[in-house]
Amino acid sequence: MHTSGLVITLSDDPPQAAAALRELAASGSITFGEVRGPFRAAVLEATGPKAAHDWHDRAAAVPGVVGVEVVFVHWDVAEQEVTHDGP
Amino acid sequence: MTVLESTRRQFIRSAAMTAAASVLQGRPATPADPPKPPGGLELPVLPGVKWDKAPCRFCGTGCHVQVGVKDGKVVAVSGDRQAEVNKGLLCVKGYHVGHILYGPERLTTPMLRKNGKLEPITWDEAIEVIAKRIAVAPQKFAFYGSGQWTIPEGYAANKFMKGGLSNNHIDPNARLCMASAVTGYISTYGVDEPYNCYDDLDQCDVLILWGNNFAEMHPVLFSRFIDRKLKGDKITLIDLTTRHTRTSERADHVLVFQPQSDLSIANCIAQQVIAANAVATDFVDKHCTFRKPWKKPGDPQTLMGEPCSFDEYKQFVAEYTPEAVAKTSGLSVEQLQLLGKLFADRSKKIASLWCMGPNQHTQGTAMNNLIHAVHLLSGHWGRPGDGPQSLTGQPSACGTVREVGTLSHALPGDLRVDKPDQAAKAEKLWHLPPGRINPKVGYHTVQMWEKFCTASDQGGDIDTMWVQVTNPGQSLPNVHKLFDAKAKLPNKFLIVSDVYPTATTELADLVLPSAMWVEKNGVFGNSERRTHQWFKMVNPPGEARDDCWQTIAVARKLFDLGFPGMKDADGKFLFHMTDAKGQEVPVWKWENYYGTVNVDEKLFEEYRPFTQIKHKDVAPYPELVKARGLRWPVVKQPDGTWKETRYRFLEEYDPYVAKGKGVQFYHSVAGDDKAFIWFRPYVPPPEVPDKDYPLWLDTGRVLEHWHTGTMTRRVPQLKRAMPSAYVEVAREDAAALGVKTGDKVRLETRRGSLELTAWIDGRGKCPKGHVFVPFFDETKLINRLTLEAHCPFSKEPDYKKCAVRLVKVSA
Repeated sequence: MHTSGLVITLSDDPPQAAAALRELAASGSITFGEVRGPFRAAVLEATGPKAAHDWHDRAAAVPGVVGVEVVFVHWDVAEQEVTHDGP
Repeated sequence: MTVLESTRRQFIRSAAMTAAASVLQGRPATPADPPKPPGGLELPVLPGVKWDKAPCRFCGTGCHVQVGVKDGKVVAVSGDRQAEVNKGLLCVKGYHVGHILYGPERLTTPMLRKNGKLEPITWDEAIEVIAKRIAVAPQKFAFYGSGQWTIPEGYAANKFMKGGLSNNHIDPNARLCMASAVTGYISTYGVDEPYNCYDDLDQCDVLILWGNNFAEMHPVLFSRFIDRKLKGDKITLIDLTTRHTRTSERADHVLVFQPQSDLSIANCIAQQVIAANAVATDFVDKHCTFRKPWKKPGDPQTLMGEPCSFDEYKQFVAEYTPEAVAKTSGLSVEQLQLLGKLFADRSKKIASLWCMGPNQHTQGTAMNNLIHAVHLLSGHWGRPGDGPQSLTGQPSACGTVREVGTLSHALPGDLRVDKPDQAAKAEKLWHLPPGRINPKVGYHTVQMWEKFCTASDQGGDIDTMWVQVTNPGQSLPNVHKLFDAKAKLPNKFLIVSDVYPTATTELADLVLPSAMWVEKNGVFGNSERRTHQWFKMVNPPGEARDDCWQTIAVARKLFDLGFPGMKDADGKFLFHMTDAKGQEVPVWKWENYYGTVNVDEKLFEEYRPFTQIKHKDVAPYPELVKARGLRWPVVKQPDGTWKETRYRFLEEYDPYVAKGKGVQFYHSVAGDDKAFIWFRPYVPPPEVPDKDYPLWLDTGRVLEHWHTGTMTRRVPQLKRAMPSAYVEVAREDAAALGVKTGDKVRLETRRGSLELTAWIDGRGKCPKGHVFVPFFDETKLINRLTLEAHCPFSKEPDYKKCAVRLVKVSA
């Protein structure tokens, strides 16, 4: 599991911001937290960094989302278990 | 899921939410909100996780992260809320910075090519192979380094070459990205690097981006500016660009200009400032003189030019009227007047930022001169928020290349090898016998690789090349000529120290596995003169070892072989280090490298006196340990504390400005404490579209991959995010050629061809007549097509414009 703490910046247009939140919430893997002005704390749970990155790109493209920033990332070691066997 | 697992996940989720909420507290939400530090500076609490600070491994912004380590592995990363640069925020690369250590292809053992195949050897064998090749022909050896070298790594390599081998053939990949900024600063102010800092983003009224995709290349800084818009600040963003990018989407004005016409646009701003009687006469008279690039028009331009009067300068720029420049630049008269009016208005503070656009330019030095010139001429210089600042793309291009002087003409502390008095200073600080430093400037990057890829009997006098922390097999321009040609030259020997296999290791004769990021101690210097330090947190995989250790070990082997240059004036080893009891520590033995001495600290403290020569005093190492980076000059205060400097050359901030001077360019070229306002004319590019090659080719980066993808393409999850390169094609051109998104097309230039998938408009939107290709993909090497033509002064190649044709291959 790949858990990210995010700050999502929303439009200053309230209806657009509300619509954006609804669309983001529909993805199911996001939990919203504290609000401050246009900024919203959130936690994203994804299967790995690729899934998190994909979600991030989709979220950033949602009308009403001004930006998405990462503030915290934790992953299970199993995600990165690899063998170092050279080329 | 077990109850225990459920509780653990809840714990992690809670830590993530707390971190996000804490950052939120530091963000101003309304115009009335004063700036304040983020709330809750404590680190996320996770069982068994130990946190320590480090700068991010990727770009030149210098964001600080907290790295969480558990059971010897990095398991978490958190934006550092104590860091002024990023205030707890990270860009999308934050998802990946921890994972770059753990790609499955990490190099883990030294390998020597035998009968065409790389085979494992021991470190002792590898070090001996290198030392013996150098000992046989030290002047035929070259070292190709990086703006990703840590400061101690670059310092050790520089000392080894210039102080040990009396050989100046050392140059970094930063030659390819910011050398024009260096020559621009030096020929304007007499000394390199910005006088200002990122604080300008918090203070400016207008931000002008000169050919800089700020939103994708420096996203955290971009957010810092955009945040101000969100809270209601009346600020304007102007994107002066050759193609639409994600930056353009947020800009108030998008000014799309024709390649190379930026020279005319800058002169047009100056023309309008003069025509509006808006020259900052008081400032200019006191602090500037005018400069022309030749004795008379038509002569070759020179780096330091000739003095000229204001009237001459006025006459030079007179032809660059908005009406005239509109005919060639692609901008309208109104757009040019917008820029002219802004600079003519002193009531607004204008910050200019640039990165690769003006730097990777056959007139790179000139473009840098001109950006400084319009700010100086108009008086938009010297107030916080009101000035020009170049950005860098690598984490220590400033720290390791510009400050440590790992360029082929340079020595640490802005000294030069070809100035006898300056070389003597370096010899004294290095405790070398007089005359040890070779006064002949070494080969710059393009020359160095030309010499390496040319047969020895045809003038190719570099036989052995050592590459550390960079991937020239992908990043050099015209790689057919400057890199691939090595494959047919069996007596040439390529050594590559890296963390993953790359386009460069494919041709290497010896591959050395390196430690990276928090697998070693390090010090970086970012784009705003900020020096950051971090400690090793986890072990590198297998036999991988620090690049700095590799350099010192080779130096010691040469010492043991009796090579005289590896001894100082007293006959001691060049990297002689002692412990607290004064006993020599053999740091060339790996088992001692992280032992009783901190090699990074020893090298950094040895380097520090160099930085005081031109008032670029870096902080003592122990101060850097305590800080989230400090901006030099860092000067000791009467109470014993150390104070950084936000703005140089301004009395209010810079302790080296003489009392009462207000502004003092104390390293000015002419020795008169004045900066130069340059005239540099429009010069056409060396290659322009024609009937055979009718389009412009621009190359650059993408958000997902960092530069050549050496690190990011080795993380499987990230590789899949942007798996391969593509070509962005303008909708009109695509229609004319019958090309659709997803079609296979071939790009052809006079140097090579490449098949790519077409993307109509793409992520950016090229204007008609232009295509764009990112350079991260080693399986689709766009630099087989680019031109090695470079700025005559900085020697930096132009990756941003050459002529190309596009042929549809298949749907």
